[in-house]
Amino acid sequence: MLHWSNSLWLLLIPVIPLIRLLHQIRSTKNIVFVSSLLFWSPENNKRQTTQPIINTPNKTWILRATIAGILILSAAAPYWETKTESSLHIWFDDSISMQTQEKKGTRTSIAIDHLLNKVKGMPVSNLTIHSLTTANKPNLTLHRNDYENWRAILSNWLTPNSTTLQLPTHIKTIKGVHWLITDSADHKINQWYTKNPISQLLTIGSKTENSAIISFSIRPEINNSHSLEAITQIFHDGGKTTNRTLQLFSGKDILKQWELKLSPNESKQVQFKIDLSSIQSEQLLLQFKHSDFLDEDDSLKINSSFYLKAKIIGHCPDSLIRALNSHPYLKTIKESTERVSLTIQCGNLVFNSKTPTLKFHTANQSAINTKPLTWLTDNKTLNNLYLKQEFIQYFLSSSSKENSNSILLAGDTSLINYTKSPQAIVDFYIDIQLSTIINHPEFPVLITGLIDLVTQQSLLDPIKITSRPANESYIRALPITANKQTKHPTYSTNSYSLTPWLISLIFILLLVDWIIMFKRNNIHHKLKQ
Amino acid sequence: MEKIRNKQVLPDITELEALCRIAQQKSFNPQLFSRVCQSNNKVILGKNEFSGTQKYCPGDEIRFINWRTSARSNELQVQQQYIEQNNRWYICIDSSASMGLPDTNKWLLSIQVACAISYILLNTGNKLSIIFFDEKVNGFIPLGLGKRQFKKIYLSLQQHHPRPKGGDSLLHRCIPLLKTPSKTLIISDFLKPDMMKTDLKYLAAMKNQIHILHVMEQQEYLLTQTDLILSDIESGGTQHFNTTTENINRVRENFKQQHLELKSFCQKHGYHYSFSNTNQSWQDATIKHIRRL
Repeated sequence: MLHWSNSLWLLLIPVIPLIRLLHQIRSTKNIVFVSSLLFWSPENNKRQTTQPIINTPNKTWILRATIAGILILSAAAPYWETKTESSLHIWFDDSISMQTQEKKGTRTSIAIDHLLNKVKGMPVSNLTIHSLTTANKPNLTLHRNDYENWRAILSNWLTPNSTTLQLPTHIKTIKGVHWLITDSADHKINQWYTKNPISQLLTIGSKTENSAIISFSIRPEINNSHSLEAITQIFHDGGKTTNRTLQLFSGKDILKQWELKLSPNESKQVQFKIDLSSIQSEQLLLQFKHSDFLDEDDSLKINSSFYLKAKIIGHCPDSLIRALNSHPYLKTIKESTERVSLTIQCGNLVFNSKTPTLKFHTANQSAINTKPLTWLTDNKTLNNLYLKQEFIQYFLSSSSKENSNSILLAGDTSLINYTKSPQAIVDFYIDIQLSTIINHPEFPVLITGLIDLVTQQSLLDPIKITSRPANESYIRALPITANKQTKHPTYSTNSYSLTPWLISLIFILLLVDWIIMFKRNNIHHKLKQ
Repeated sequence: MEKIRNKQVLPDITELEALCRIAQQKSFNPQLFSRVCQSNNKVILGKNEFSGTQKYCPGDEIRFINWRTSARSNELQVQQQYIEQNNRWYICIDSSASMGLPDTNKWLLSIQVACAISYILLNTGNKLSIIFFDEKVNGFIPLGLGKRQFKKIYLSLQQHHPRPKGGDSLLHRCIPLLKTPSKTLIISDFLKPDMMKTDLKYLAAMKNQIHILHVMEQQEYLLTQTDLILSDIESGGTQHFNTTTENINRVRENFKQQHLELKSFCQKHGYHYSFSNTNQSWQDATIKHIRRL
C-alpha cells in the first residue's frame, strides 16, 4: 500500500495547472499574423480553422507539469508498504499426561479450545502444529480459510503418544512466532522451553493426583511348573496419600485384588504368585479398580504364555524330534497356517521363511571328525557345552553365505554357521543320523542353545515384562520460568521508498526537456541565420 | 501593423522620367507604348493632334485605315478611335490586408511599380485608370489622360493603404468599372485558394488584355520563432505551426508552387505575367514587367 511521509506536500498538486496557464500566457506572444494560411499547412490543410484565436499552450507544458507533479510527489516522500501475516508455530505437548481429565475435558481438548480462542483475532495466515513426542510425524498446517474445521482437524491429529519425547533442536531455523502448549509436567519440556525462542507459553491443567502402574512382569516359578511369579510396581504422583484398589484379571475373572495405600511420590512393589490353572485367558490385565484423572496409566497387560511355537519342514530324524520335544517351552506344530516364531527345516529344501530358522542340512556322505571342536559364539549355553570330537560326523558345506559366521569349527571346517540378518538362520552341517552325539545328553542342550541363539531369547529362563516410563505419569505442573516476553503474531511490514525512483525520473524528464529545448533553439538559431 | 507612409516612398518625377527614358531607349515591348512600327523599329509616341489619325503600323486592322488622310500624306494613316480603344489601361491594385504583411514592403513595391507604369503609360498617350480593391472597390480613378491624370493617380497611391485586418481579394468587384476592350494590369500577391483564376478568366472573356504583376514578400515564410500560432490576417483562421526546418521548407515549396502554377496558368491563357520579390527595387520590378510585355 502506498504511504506518504510528508503528505502536506500533496497540497501543492492543484498548483500544477498554473504551469499550463504560464505556457498559455507565453504562447499568446507567439501569435503571428500571416498573409494567408493557405501555404502554412504543409501536411494537411484541414488543420486550418476559421475559429477565433484560442491561445493553446505549447505541448511541452505537459512535460513540465509532469516534472512538477513528480517533484511534488517526491517531496511528499512516498513509500510502498507491504504487510505480511506472520506464521505461527505451535509446539504441542502431546504426551500421555496431556490426556489428564480436567473439569472441562482432557488437557488436550482444553488446550485446543484455548489455542483457537487466542488465535482467532490474530493476523495469522497459517498455523503449524508440531508434535513434541514424534520427531518423524509430519507437521499439521492449518490455513486461515479453513478456520471452522481447525478443532476437528487438531483433535484427530493430536493422538496420545506414549513414546519418549523427541524435542526438536532446529526450532531457531524456523521463521515465525513460536508458542508452546504444555501442562509443564515434564521437566525436559520445561528445560527445552527455556533454551528455545518460544515467545508464548500456554500451560494447561491443574490436577495433581495420579497413580500409575509402572511395570508388570511374570516368570515361571522355578520349583513349581504350574505357577507364575509376578511383580508389579505402582507409583503415585501427587500431594496427598491415596487408597487404590489393584485388581488382576484373566479374561473377566478377577484373579487377585489388593488394597494399596499410596503416599505422595511413593513407588510400591507388589509381588504375588499366579496359579496357572486359574488362568483362563493368555492375557493378564492388571488395573486399578477406580480410574483417576489419567486413565492411560491405570492398567498394564501381559501375555502369560511362555511357549515358543515352532514349525517343522521336511523329514527330520527322530533323534532331532525327541530333542525338540524335550524342550520345556517349545511347541512343534505341523500346520503351516498357524503363526509360529521358529522354523525348523530338515534337508536341503529351498524355503524362505519369515521367522528365525534352524536348517539341518543333509548330504550323501559325511566325514568323520578328527579335529578338536571350537566354539566361536558368545552364547553362554553353547560356549559352555563341551563336545567330544569323536561324537561328530559332518557334511561338507557346499556354499558359504556372505553374512554368515561360523560358530562351531572343526579345524578349518565350519560345522554350524549363523546368519544374523536379514533373517536369523542357523545352518547345521553335523550328520545327525551317523553322529554319536545324538545318544548323549549334550545333544538336547546343543539344540536348546541353537534355538536360544536363533531366536535371541533365553527360553529356559523366560521373563515377561511390560512397563511404561514413570515420568509419563507425572501430571503435576512443575515450576517453569515464564520470564520471556510474550509475543503475538503481528503484521510484518516492509517499506520501500519510491523517492529515489521519482528523482531519477525527474532527471530523465529534465533531460528530455533539455533535448527538446536544445533542438528548438537550434532551429531558432538556423532560422535567424 | 506599421502605418505605411506612401508619400515618402513613391518615386519622384525625376526618377520616373529617367525610367521612362530608359524604357524608350531600350525599346521595350511596343505594345506597352502607343504605337511601334515593326518596319523601322521606331517607337511612335503620342497621336497626330491635327488629323485625328496615326501612322499605320503593320498589324493594324485595314478597316480602320483613313484612306483620305493617307492619300493626302502619302503614307497610311489609321483612325484615332481605333487607337483610343487600344490605349485604354486599367491598373487594379489589391489592397487587401494580406498586401500589408508581413511588413510594408509588398504594398510599397506594388504602389511604386503602379506609379512608375502609370507615368510611362500616361506619358505615351494611354488612357489610364486606377482601381483599389479588396472585397470591394476602395478607390477608383476613372480613365484619363495627361499630367493631371497622373497627379490624381499619384495622390491616390499616396492616400491608399491596405486594410489592417479582414477582407478578401475579389477582383471581379472591379469588372463593372472596366470599359472593354482594354488592358488591365493586376498587381496582387494572389494569396487566394484559386489565385483569382476565375476572375481572371472572366476578365479575359470581356476582351480585356490581362497583365499580371505577382508581388511576393521575400520574408513571407521566414519565421524566427518556434511553435507559433499563425493567424490569417484576412479570414481570422488560426493554426499551430511548429517551426522546424522541414516545415519551413514545405511552406517555401508551397509558395514556390503557387508562383509556378500562376505563371503556368498565365502562359497557358496568354496573360502577361511577371513576378517581383520585395528584395527588388521598384525600377527593376517595373522594367522586368514591361520587358515581358
